[in-house]
Order: sequence, then structure tokens, then C-alpha cells
Amino acid sequence: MAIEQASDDGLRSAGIGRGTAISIFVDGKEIQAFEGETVLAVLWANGRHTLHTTARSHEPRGFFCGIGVCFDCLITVDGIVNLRACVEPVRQGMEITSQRDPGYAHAS
Amino acid sequence: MRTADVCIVGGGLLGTATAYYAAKAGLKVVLVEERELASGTSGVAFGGVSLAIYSYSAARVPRAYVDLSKASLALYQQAQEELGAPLDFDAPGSIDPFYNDEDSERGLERARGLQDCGVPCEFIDYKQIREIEPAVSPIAINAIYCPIDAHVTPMGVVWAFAKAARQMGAEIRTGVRASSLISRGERVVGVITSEGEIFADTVVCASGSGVPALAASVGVKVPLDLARGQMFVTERIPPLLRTYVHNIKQTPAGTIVFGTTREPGVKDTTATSVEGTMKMLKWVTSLIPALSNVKLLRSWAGLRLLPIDGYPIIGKPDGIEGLMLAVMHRGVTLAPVVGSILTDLILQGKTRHDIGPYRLSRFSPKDQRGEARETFYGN
Repeated sequence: MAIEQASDDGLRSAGIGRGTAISIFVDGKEIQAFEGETVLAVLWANGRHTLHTTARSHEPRGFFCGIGVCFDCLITVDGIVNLRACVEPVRQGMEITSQRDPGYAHAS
Repeated sequence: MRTADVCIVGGGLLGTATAYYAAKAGLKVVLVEERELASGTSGVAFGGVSLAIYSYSAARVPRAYVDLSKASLALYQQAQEELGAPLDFDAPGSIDPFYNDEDSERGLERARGLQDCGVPCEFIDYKQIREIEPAVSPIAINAIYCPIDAHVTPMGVVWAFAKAARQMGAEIRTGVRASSLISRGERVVGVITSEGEIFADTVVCASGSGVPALAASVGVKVPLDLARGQMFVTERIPPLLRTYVHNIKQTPAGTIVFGTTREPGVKDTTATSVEGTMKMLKWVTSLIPALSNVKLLRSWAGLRLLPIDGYPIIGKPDGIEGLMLAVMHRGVTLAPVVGSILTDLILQGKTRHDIGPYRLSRFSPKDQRGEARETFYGN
């Protein structure tokens, strides 16, 4: 794990480490991620801002609170629907599907 | 200075329902609400409009109470036609389960009493429960099934009543706190609010837990108990429940809404607790095992109100004119009928409904007190 140098004045932290590179699959496409990241961080870093579409009006939804409270970043992981991308850690080989709500009606 | 025929304090179900029926009858209405509409108990309630489910009442439910509930259900049906979708009014029936022989005996007695009052309910066994609601586990040995019981989204009802009342000329003001009543001799003539005095021929106190303090400002003591209740909502799931099972229902969106804890003596009435959550999850998953794998979305808490004998306080207190009270448990079920009763009392001084048992004067002087107490009587 690469660790950045602490600042000279010693007031800032030693920086943010980046975990081992892994592969995850998003709607079938392989994307590089790093251990320790959340699914949301990876999707955001790869420009995928729409995570699911709403049940009634089919409007796009992305993350809102980013801290596990609002349930507006729902995704399907390995067939399990309605998981929060913002608190879901990435794992090697996981398959993420952007979700059409209600998730249960469209899960494979 | 403002004047009105009726000044209603409280923007919850009882206040807005009263505003609706009073405005519809041609009365000039001003409603004041300290915070926002439905910001108190109405906004956190389960939403049952029920003839058969009674959390706190005795095995034998009094006829007058059943009659009020029946009349209210009919008014909801009418209001649904007049006000439309926001009410989310649906009448899928209810199941009130019993878990042991003692509960079942009381349940059977209640079912017979309700049937005597013309409620089309049945006392059923587990096999029959399962036919109606296959998701219910055998921990329910018997139940009362009431096929006409309904539910609503309480917040939607409040907004619908308030909107309709406004359209008929009612003035509904939020962010206005009523601090005390104004009296002249033995008559209430208005309300002192954070934005000045409002004079009215009749003042209706419908502010839930705020009623005792307001009534006490003119020497009227309202014996009200309070407890915290926590509610929960899950993610959307495929259709699982057709009816509502005690306080567990599936909303049109597919979420399961359930509750509620009953926690006396809690100071922070809007905070949820891990203890209360765990207790409710244990109960709900043992009764509906399919919910074990369903994700919980949110929980919230609010105040549950209960006049100390469990029954509503409706209408004019003895010895003082110009004042009406509306404070009760099961306000969701009763709000429309209470709103229409208060309107009748204001206009005609009488009502066709039997509210004799629900006058404040039924309480003995020693029961009466000037503030809400944080505990519950009853079972």
C-alpha cells in the first residue's frame, strides 16, 4: 500500500492510502477499483452518476447524502437489490447492476 | 387583531379535520399551528382507520366508541371522493392477532362485543388467518379479522384537509404559537399567539400534547398521558400483505410500515432507540418471518397520547363557554367524525352522535391535572 509523505509542518495526516487494485463489473463492464473504496466512490470516479431510476417516474437518481442515510444511491450487487453504494465496500469480482426501481421487480 | 367564528389551535388531524368541516359549513375559521402541519403525533402515526384494533382499550369496547369509529370510517370514504388521492385511503381489512389463550379469550369477547355493535368482524383461528394472510406465522393462534378496516397516510390526510379548508376560505397559519387562552368571566373569547391576539366565538384546542397546558390557562384540567412510540419503514418489496396486521402494513409503494413501541417516561420523545428498535424487529419478524431478510430503511418516533381512561375527550368542558376540546388516542380513526361533531356543536349546540361518555366532566376532580404526564394507564 502506497502511503503519501506527511507534510513538513507535521500538522496534516500522512495522506490517504490506496488499496490493492482489483476488478469489479458494472453492468457487465470491467472497471478497476481499489480495496477500501466504496462502490459509490468507484462509480463516481468513473463518471457514472446515475445509479438507479425511480419506480413511478423513471427519473435518474444518484447519491445524495453519501453517508448511508438517504437511500438514494441504491444499486444491485451480485443479485441483491437495494444496497447503498455509499456504504458498500468493493470486492474483487463483484457484479454491480444499475437498478430500475422497484429493485425486486427487475432483479435477474 | 384578528377575529373569527372559530379559532383552532393545532395543525394535525383533529385540527385540520375540524377546519375542513367548519369551513364547509360556512364558518370563518382561523387555524394556528406552532410548527408545521402534521409536525406532531399526526405526522408519525401508523394511519389505521380501524373498527377492530384497540391497543389500550378494554376487552369490551363501548358502543358509543364503536359508533364514532364507524361514522368516521364513512366520512373517510366520503372525504376520499371529495379530496382524492392524497389520503391514500384503502380498506383492505385488518387482522389483530392474539398470541396466548388469555389474549384470545379477551379477543373473542371483544369480537362478540363489536359484532353486537354491527361491526362485520370475525374471530378466527390460525388456519383462517393463513388463508387471508399467508405471511403470518403460527405464533398467532387467533385473530379478529375485520374486512372493512382501512388505513390512510396521516400526513396526506392532514394536507388534504388543510388544502380543502383553505380553498373554502379557512385561514391556516403555521409557525404561530398559541400561548394561552383569553377569557372574559366564564367564557373563552380568544387565543394569545406569538403573532398577536385572535378573538373567536369558539376556540378549539386540538394540539395534542399541548392541550393540557393551553386548557390550564383558563383553569380547565385535562388528564392526558404520553408515551414515546417508534415506527419503522422497510425497502420496497413484492406484494406480501393484503390486509394490515395490527400495526404492520404494506404501502402502495411496496414498503412495509410497522410499529409501534410504547415507552412511558421518555423525555426525548422524537429520538429512536436501539432497544426499542430491537424489540420491534424481534416481534415483527416472528410474526411475519418473510420480513427477516428485508432491509430496514428508516425509523422515527413521536408522542402517543392517551386520556387516562383510554377514551377521547370531545367537546365543551363544563362551566365554561366558547371552548371545545379534541384530544384522544386513535386520532387518525376519529378525526373526521370529531371534526364534524365539533362543527355541529358550534353551529347548533348539539350533535346526533353520542358523545356523552366522552365529556371531560367524566373525570373526577382528583384525576384532573394541569399538565400531560409521561406514563400510560391501561394495558
